[in-house]
Amino acid sequence: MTDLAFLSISDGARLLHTKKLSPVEWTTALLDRITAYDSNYNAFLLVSAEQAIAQAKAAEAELAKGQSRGPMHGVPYAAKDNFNAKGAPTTCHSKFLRENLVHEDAFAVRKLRDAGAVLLGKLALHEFATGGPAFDLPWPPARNPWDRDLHPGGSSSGSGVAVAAGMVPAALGTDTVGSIRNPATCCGIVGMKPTYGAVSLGGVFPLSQSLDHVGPLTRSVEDNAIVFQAIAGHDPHDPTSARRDVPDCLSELRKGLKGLRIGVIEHFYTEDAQAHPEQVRGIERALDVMQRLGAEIDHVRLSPLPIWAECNRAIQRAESYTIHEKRLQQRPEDFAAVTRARFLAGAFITASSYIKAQKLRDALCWEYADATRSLDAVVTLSGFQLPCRIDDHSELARTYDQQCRLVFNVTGTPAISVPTGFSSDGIPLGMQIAGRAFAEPMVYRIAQAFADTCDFVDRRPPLSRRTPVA
Amino acid sequence: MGDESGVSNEIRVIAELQGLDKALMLFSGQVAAAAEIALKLLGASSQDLATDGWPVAVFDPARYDRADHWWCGAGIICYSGR
Repeated sequence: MTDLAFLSISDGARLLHTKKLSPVEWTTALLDRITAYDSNYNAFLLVSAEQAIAQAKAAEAELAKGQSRGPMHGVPYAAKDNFNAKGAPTTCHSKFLRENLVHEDAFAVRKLRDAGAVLLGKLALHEFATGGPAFDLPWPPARNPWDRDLHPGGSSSGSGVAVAAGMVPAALGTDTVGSIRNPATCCGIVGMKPTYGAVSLGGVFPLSQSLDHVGPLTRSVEDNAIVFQAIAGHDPHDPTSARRDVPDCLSELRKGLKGLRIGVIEHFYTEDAQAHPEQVRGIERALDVMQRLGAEIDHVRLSPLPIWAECNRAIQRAESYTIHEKRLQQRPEDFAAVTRARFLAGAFITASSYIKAQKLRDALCWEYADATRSLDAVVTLSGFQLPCRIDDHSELARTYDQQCRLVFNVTGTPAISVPTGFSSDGIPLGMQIAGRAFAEPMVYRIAQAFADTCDFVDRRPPLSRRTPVA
Repeated sequence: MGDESGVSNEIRVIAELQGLDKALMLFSGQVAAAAEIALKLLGASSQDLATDGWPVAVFDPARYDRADHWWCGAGIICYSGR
């Protein structure tokens, strides 16, 4: 019997199109699973069961008549609650937007609606997609399915949890400083931050417009490529949207690594910062595997990580402040403390610093382009530490920003987080594979080749149903 | 110089100019910490970035796929140790 909780999109689509599975059956099974487990993991802010069943029935009727809208037709998914979905509030997990009912879909949500996908609900995030886990908001923070005492990464925390816990096969997330790849790493799944402009930002509540990206979180690389292809494409209403055809990420997915040149950016996690030894061992094992598969591994040096971090943070905090200025002036007490601390910094970034940060970004982008011109991709760590307890504020403050995901928000180039195994305590480990601008097909190809060698990808988190007494 | 909340006069003036009086009153420590973080950003790394050229290009990641570029060989900035 098929385990619908962990059914992949690629297998599910085959079953749906051959009428061996009904979209209603799949949707109902996942809604039941959400009901059974989510009170313990808090992935969902809103479950739209009735609308989901209606969408699933519509997909079933079309598929029964042989009318296929493609591989997402009848496939359940969920969206981070900073994506607009018509008829539902977009809360951004914030007190400010509790009643923010919207009447139009975000571009990515509309693309998935047009593709016949079934939206199960809206997912938890760090407030306004920044900060960290917070207990002073209207909803509790999402928890790590591998150990609910640990944080699940963020800011697309609910997206990571829902996918890893088998509540949905795919979720949408946003990524400004690493917010798709962080929960992907912490929850042991696959998270793609595509090229800036490849997926429209239309209808997504912004954090920092020049660094924001939209992308999918899934359990497999192939599923991720399927969702990416479904949501990519030009949006005439989004000035940042690229005028490019959607790339074919599937036809060369299994071409392997033979003859590819892959750079490893090691100094980020061995010199610029000291990563946890188990994370380092994870990426070292992965590099050995890639070499055995026929890739040539070269070492790449870029500017030290703190330069990239300062560039990203100066831009992000200045742009975020312009979005939240009035809220900070009038109702600063209504932010979570961790969100307020981040946004307030933007008040003290001068126009000169912001422009210099953008000029620095330009130089860093050239540097990255030069360093990767003769390479097919680069590999580096994602997070440097293992997730700590979700309520350990000092450890969160110490470890949460120890990462090199933000580098690829600065360059705007595609970067995917893939699992590299588990720590000795059973906590997921991860790394990034990053490419040149609009080279998503190559990034997916390398990720797929590595994933095909991993025997841990079928490991499932040990979910519990009972909510422990706090 | 600062007041008993630990917020320096300089930071208080900037915060008040930004209309953050309420945040200063309720969360003075957080305002001071945020200012300290922000004012340190780009301190050392911005020395060579002041020019009278066009301040910022519209961000387009594909632009960097070209081999020729404005700063190549000019020695303006390159942190790479390659």
